[in-house]
Amino acid sequence: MPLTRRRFLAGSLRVLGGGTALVAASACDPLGRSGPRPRRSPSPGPDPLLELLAAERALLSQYDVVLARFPAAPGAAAVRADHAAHVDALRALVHAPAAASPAPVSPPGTTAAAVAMLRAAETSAAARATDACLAAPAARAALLGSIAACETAHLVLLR
Amino acid sequence: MTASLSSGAAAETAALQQVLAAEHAAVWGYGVVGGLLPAPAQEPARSADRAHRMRRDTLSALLAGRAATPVAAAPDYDLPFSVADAGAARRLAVHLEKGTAAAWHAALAALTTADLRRLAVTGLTDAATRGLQWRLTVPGEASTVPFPGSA
Repeated sequence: MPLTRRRFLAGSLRVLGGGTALVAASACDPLGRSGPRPRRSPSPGPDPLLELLAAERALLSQYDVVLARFPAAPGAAAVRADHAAHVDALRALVHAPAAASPAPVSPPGTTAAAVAMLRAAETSAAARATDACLAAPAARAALLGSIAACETAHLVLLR
Repeated sequence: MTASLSSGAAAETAALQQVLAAEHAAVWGYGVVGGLLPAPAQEPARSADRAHRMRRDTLSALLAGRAATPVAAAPDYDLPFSVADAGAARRLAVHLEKGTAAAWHAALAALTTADLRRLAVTGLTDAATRGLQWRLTVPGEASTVPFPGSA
């Protein structure tokens, strides 16, 4: 790597992002096609991410319900935007059509109860995304890990 | 089969080395951050520093266990911008967490062993969480990002 040691901090922290392609490209073929992992070959069942997508859509609708009732719920508007981006990314990955609306949820009676509900939902969502990441083929691992990380970080804002 | 499995293992080792290099840089960077924050604000920097040292040690041990020589820290690093006061120190902390998040994110595709992939999700999650905490202390930073670690 043509980086001097002194350039390392400025270089490596930025270049590592660019290094993604290097690692992913060299790993892609052998990891994607040869391993014994069960989901590598085209499987006849539905895409396992459809379930994750449905859960993300349900989460998004929870935010809609909370924000309709408590527009100033701490953190909720910013976090909702992240989930909308997650839904878009997952939908593109599994080639799912635009959604049927999930079943409506009734909003809690107070802002505090609403935020507590959202915190619990984020914790579950992060666990689901983590499980999906652990089971995913290489090409999907980074996106799913990133979604899991984002959802755990949301707990910082929802208080 | 044997050849492709071993190239998978080599890709894992290379990915772990890249994350270790980023963790070394973060440990060095938090030395700068900690020195510029006022005493009451130093605990988050100390806690982040401890967390990065722990990851560094975990990665070094993992690499040694794979019969690889863990990459060493550089003796010196260039700062990405001038860091001379507490505000710049907080921005540096944001930069350090963004860099380590990117390193873990980049490693995820190469890490196919379940324990290693879990370690990478945890490393990415922790960097994303600390990064968000630091961003909240920097005026003008986005409070949350939908895909931590991605460019």
